[in-house]
Amino acid sequence: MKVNVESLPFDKMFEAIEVRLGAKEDSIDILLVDAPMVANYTAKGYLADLYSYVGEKSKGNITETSLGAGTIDGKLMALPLNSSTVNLYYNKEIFKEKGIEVPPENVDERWTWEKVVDVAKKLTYEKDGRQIYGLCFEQIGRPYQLLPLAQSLGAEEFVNKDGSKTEGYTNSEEMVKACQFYYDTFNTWNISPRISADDAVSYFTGGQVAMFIGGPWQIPSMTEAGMDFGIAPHPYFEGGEVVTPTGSWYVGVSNYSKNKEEAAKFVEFITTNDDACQMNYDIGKNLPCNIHVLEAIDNDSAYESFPDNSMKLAVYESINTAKARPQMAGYAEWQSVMEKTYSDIMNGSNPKEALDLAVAEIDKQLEKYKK
Amino acid sequence: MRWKRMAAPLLFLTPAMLGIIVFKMVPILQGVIDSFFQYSFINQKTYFSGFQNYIDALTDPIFLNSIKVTMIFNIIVNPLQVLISFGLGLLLMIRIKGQTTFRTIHLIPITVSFTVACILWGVLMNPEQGLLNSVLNLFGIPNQQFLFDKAQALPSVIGIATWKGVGYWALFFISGLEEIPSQLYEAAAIDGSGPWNTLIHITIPQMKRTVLFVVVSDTISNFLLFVPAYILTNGGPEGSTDFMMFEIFKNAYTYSNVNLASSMIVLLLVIMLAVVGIESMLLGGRDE
Repeated sequence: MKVNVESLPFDKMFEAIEVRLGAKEDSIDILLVDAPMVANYTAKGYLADLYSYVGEKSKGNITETSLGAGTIDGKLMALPLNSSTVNLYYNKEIFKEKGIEVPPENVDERWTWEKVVDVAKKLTYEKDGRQIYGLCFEQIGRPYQLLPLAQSLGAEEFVNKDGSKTEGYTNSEEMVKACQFYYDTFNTWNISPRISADDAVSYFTGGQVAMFIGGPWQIPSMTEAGMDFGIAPHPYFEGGEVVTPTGSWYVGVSNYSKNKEEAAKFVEFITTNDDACQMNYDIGKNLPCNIHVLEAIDNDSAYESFPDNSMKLAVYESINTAKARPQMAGYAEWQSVMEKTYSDIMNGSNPKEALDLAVAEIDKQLEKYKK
Repeated sequence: MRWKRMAAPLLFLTPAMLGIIVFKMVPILQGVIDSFFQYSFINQKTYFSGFQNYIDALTDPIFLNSIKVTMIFNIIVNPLQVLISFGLGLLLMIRIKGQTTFRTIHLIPITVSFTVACILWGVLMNPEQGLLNSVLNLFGIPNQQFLFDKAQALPSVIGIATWKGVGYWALFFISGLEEIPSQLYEAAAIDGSGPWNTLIHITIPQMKRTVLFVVVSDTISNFLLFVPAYILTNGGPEGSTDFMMFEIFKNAYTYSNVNLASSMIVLLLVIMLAVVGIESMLLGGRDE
């Protein structure tokens, strides 16, 4: 069996899928599906049901929650390539230079956002004509890393039960407060650089950012840059709940593929086979969904030492604090409008007004999924 | 006899006409048809929906804003580009030493793809560490946000589009200027006409057809502008650079609503035809 791989930048991939599967093209057999997009592609009929192709034993190889997120109305629409988590990374040199204590490793002593901002203000300064920033999100403007801000403040839902209305949910009081915080990091406290998500990691590895909210998949580039970094648990709002992002890439088979059976076999192999999952972990350092790989991490003493110990933290967060993004047929529309809204807020739009406009636009787009 | 006379032109026209029919007329017709239907994801079927898509488009504040942005952009950018490229064309006609070098330099923006140009301008205009801000700092001006500021984004895009466009349109002006018979200038010189008078009374009237062509083509290309919004601004901040083409693209390929996007395309076509019609009326007239 020969597999041809096509790679595309993050934003462009969603578009390519929309263009090609929207035209019912059969040139794609297998596609990567972002966890919350499973429902969207299912509603549009892009994905084939894998239930009959995938063996029971294989299904038992992955965690139940990850299998559940790929299942819609009893149909298995996609299988998880991996899961994900987010931590607080920091540049030890910058902390040392300013004589500030680094954030603790212990999950029970994790910093609050208030503390992070307080420290970030001290770590925002000019050095040799270069601006150093206290804080930066890896995925600037993307809900994946920004929703936990609102969730930590108590936001539960971002859309109503049947997925048809976001008014009152996505612009809830908690969401406005969270977006005000996001706004302040750029516009009030000036502790974060106004850049695009694509540039964020190089700001951190280049020594221009003291604290970086990012995923373990960035560890290889941090190590490669030769920087002295540390890992701490994800922050939360004082008096609020600890919430961390989760969910990652799923793999599905196109409904228009001519090789569904072979494609399903391949998807089954890369997502559930123990060796394939171990290899996937070794390369990408993403939180696995495969039970045996997770057990190996838990038992292996090699994961006690830095930076692989981040995986222990990842496993802890995924069990105790992780919350998924909203499940809705209109997630594609929701995400697109929200990215635009977060970007406007970064550039100085009033958070409440921006969110009110966003829900109006989203709700209009959701109408087409109504029965 | 008549048939024989017609044969040659018909033969020459056929390939071009076939191209226009297959690649322009058929898709336009398809778009018009699509705009009266609506695909339902739930039933996986297409329904006739009459003018509903047009009503949806024209009551959508986001789309209305994109019409406004596109109109403002065009009202500014078209005269600007035509004037600058005409001036550039005149300058490039002057016979001085090194003119070939200038002519080559002015071609550079044309040869760079708009996508690549936008990425380069994005780097230059970066609010954090862009070259443009470094230059401004030299004169004591603080960092500007450019594409990240809702007041500066559209002017910035106008600047980029103009930089990209003027060299190309100047090419047409140069070829138009070269076609003006030199006897006219000689006669004017003998009559004692100065450079300004010559420009007003000889060059400009002689250039009428070129000007019309450039104005119309430039308008069309600017109405269809898409790349800067797609590459640089994502239509923002606050929809300030949300051009119609970008909004239509989003409706089709992000919001998966091809039928609604088709109705928007038809509306864009109607607006464009109207604007181009007015331009032709004002500039064309009869040959004197």
